[in-house]
Parts: sequence; C-alpha cells; structure tokens
Amino acid sequence: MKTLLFKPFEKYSEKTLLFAGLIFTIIGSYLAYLFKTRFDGVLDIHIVPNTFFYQTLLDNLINISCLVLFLSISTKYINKKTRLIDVFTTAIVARTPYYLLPFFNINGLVGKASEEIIQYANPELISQISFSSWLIIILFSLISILFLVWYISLLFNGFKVASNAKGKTPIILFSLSLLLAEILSKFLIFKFN
Amino acid sequence: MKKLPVNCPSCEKSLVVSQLSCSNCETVISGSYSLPILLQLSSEDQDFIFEFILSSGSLKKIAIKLGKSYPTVRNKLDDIIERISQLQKS
Repeated sequence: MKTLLFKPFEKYSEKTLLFAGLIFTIIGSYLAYLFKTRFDGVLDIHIVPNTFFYQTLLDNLINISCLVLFLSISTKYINKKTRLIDVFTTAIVARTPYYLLPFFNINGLVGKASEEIIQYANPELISQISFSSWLIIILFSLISILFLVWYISLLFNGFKVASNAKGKTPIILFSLSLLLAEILSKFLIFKFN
Repeated sequence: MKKLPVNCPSCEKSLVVSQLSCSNCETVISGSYSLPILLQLSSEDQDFIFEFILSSGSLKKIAIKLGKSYPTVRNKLDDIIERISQLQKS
C-alpha cells in the first residue's frame, strides 16, 4: 500500500503509470470543472465562482508541461540516461492527490465559506463570521497542506527513480525546478487561460 | 546455503582467500588469493547479475520478472557498475 501511495514509480511499468496518469488527469479536470476549482499553477488550487471543462483541462496540461520541462532539464543534468517518459509519468501521476481536493467543494461548501470570510474580513465585523465557515476553511486548509505534501513526496520519489538521484544536489535542483515550473505555469495560465 | 563473507567483521577490510582444499583427496593449498570482484559484491548484487545474464541482458525482462519498474532496475545496474568501478580502483 505504501508503494502504491508514495512510491508507485519503483514498481509499476511506464505503460501502467502513463495510462493511470492520463485517466487521473481527465477525471481530475472534470472534477475541478464540476466543483468549480482551478489549478492555476503547479502548486495552486483555487475555488472560483464558475469554470469550464476546457479551462480546468488546460490548467492541468500547462502544469504538467511546465513540470516536465524543468524536471527533465534537472534529471538530464543529474543522469544523462534519464528517459523523458519516466519524467512525464512522474508529473502526471504525482498530481493525482490534488485532483481529489475539488471534492471538498461539494455544493460550493468551501466557496461559500471563503466568500463569507472575505465579506467580513474586517476587525470590526470578524465576529459575524459563522463558526461553520471557520471550521470549513481551517479543515480545507489542513487537508490541502496534507495533499500538497503527498503530491510533492510523489513528485520527488518519481524524480529520484527517473534519474537515480543521490545526495544533496538533486534536492536543490528539484526545489529549483518546482519553483520555476510554478512561476512559468502561473504566467502561462494567466496569459492564455 | 552459507553466505560467503567478503569483508572482515572486525575492521571491514576486504578478506582474501588463504586456504583452498579438495573435498575428494583432502589436498590443501595455502596462500593469499584476492577474491574476484564479482564475489566482492553483495549477494543481492550477485543475484541481480545472475538474473541479468539469464535474461540475455534485457532490463525490461528483469523488470517484469522482479516486479519492478524499468528505471528502478536500470538504477540498480548503474549502482552495481559504480560499485565495480570502485572495487577495480581499490
């Protein structure tokens, strides 16, 4: 179970990972459309008033492309034998935990709670925010952090398997790649989607 | 099957063969012979090399046989190559 959840790249073939990753990406994009969520950056997830399926799908395609671009440069630098398919499967499978997060906005639960908090985000009015809204936002934030950790640990494990990375340099390269992918994806989504 | 010790349990340096004997006529040869590099690898690495040869050098076949992904198996081979290079230098 631990292998399946955190280290699938050590066990499963690239065909299995590719198939699973593509299915998860499509389902994840559809869930984001259903529950009004945007993945507007490699590390971002935001509840929005409305969205279209093509937007959520394009969000994910841009995020995956940015991850593949920077992670493949880093992995090639670490190990010239690294295959592009292993970096690609890492990027598409690692994002799966994020695709589960839109579920928490069922019936616009998180969206309504965050709207209420924004509406009363004033020291004089803050007491008017209901307890349930606080609870929903705090719980959603905690779950999002947990899923972010899961996503990054999957990404790093895939990165290590793809490049046979060892030591401290790969950790720096991985962090840098993630940061650059986040910046580029934010820019591209803002510009084109 | 008994595991062949390759490193000294006291100082961890590589062991050498100091005695060989014939189980048939009980002839004993004494000397100081270095262990071949392949025998200095861990039993896990030796098993991997054995599988590698039996699979005609196909990493894809080994990956299927061991239930591992292709990059995991390739990384294992790369680690063994590095270990052999270190042993050749020492």
